[in-house]
Amino acid sequence: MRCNHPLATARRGGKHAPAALAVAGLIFAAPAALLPFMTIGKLGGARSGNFLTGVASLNENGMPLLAVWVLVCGGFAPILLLAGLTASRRYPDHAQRWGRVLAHWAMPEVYVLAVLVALTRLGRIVQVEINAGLWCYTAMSLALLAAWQAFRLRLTESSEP
Amino acid sequence: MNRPPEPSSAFHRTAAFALAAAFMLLPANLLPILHTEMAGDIRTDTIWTGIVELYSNGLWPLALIVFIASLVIPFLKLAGLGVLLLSAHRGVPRDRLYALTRLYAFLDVIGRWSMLDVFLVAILAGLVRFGAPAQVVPLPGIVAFAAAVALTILATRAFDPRILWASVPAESPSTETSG
Amino acid sequence: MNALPKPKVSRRPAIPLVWVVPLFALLIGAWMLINEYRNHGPEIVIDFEDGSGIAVGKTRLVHKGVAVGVVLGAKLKPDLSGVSVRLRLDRDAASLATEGAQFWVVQPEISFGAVRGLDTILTGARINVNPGRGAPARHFIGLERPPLPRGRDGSRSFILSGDRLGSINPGSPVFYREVKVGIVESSRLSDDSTAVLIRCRIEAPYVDLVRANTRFWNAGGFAFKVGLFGAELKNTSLESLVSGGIAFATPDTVPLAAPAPEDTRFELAREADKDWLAWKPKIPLHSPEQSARQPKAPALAPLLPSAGKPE
Repeated sequence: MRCNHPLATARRGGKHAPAALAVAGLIFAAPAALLPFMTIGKLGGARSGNFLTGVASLNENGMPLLAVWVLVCGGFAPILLLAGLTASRRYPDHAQRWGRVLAHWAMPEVYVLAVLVALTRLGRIVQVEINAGLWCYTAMSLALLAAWQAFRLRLTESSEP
Repeated sequence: MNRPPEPSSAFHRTAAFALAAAFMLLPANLLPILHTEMAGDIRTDTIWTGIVELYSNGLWPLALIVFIASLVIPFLKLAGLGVLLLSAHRGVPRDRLYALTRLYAFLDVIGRWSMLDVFLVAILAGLVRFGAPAQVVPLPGIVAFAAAVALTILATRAFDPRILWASVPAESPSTETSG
Repeated sequence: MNALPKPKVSRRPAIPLVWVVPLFALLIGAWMLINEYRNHGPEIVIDFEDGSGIAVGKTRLVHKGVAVGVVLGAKLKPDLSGVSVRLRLDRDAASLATEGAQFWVVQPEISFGAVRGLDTILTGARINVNPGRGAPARHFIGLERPPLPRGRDGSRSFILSGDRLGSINPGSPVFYREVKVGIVESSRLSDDSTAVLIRCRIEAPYVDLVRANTRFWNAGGFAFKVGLFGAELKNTSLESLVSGGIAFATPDTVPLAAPAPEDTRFELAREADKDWLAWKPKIPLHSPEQSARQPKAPALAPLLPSAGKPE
């Protein structure tokens, strides 16, 4: 486990919270994209999948648009949002504008739930093993949720007279 | 925030997207979304038969999750948007304003969870890829469903709660409610 | 002070551009649905005595190796005498549903009689079809057993008379020089119960291999030859291992005897004589389509030393 930036304090809305969480999210994002999520073993070899293999399979099956869509909702939008939030202290207005837009389309937590469902469903038939990539992706999602929440709280606080 | 809204345009956009989503939900539910061949079991599933399959395999919590994500939520969203649009059109009594705005926020939040089934198909297809004896093939129905979900999200984004406030038949300025 | 500016009622076009989106959605959605249902062909009903293995929505109708239909429903007939199976054909396979079409359920079957349909262990039962000829029909009676392969034009059948049936059953292969050239169709006791009569059918390109003086023998089962040079266990096809087989050889007299006509009776010996195995008559196979339908597995003829295959 890597260390985050020290969160300012337990005080909610600490000034550094959104950016710090966002950075943490980004740190997790790289391995999440590269490392395998799950390995299933069946009669024969074992196969691993990560986030990108799911996208690629949609593309291979003649659904390139859907592949891009999943890539955006589960990958690009969260990463962009995280990147935006890390810069939120310096550019709060931009962060706010783009954040609102991106927040609608960034849904990595839904992806995590989908993975869990797939895991359980496959687990009945074949042997399934969870790999590091999934943990990283989940951590990234949680970091994103926390960062966004912290950011919004900070906004409402700062807009109070 | 951005430039001041144009109430009628928000209304139209929301209604148009919502209608489009409704149209897309027809093929999404009628057409199969997934074909699996695994462990001797060959099946082609629509959203509904997929849920039934999960349930009949004893995985009723999963069936419930997918049921809520893929059937209940889209329906709720469209119904909710319908209520909001209707209210905006007919005029909102002031005491309902808060409730309706909360409804809007609620729809905004739950919308994304409908993407669950789309991600699920992508994941399954991605894991079990290289042909017989096991394979998972996504089918056109899932594209229609993803389109429907995207459209409901667009519809929710297009809706501006301020058209609710604008429709309040009152002389006094509308109160700011937390959104 | 008003929080909102008074809305400017500008004379916009009555229908904002955004309504193109639902129109699009309607068109695309309709197109997707039409596309899907375009492949739907006619629905037919097949009555089977037994519906085991048939799963609604899963069991497919397979013809020439391709799935061309799917079972929509299966229910007991009102008089409880069987099962009515509702099946939807693909549009391009609609012509299968003609009078005289034969349908049967393929399940894995390993018995002394036959080894069949083992692939269905993995894939689940399927329904096979022999197309009929004639008017389109919608209601069929299914077969309980797979039909014997139809005599293709040019095939010829003969009757073998043997001491015992041995391990021979309908579907058992008939070999010439370890190549499968025909199939056993049926068998029964002779009228006076002293012998067993076996009808076998030789496929078209090979009918001329059977001459008036051809000798047939029981070549099936599993034999282990222990001899001077050690034990020998021939590689065997799964078929003849379990279900027995018949082999024949034709003496290479000069000139060759006449080809045997249909229904000629031959004696079925229990084993081959050594000299039979040495015969090597030159008999041209006259069918131009030396089709690739030859089974690839070499046949078991354990009593034959490696006689070599036909060039």
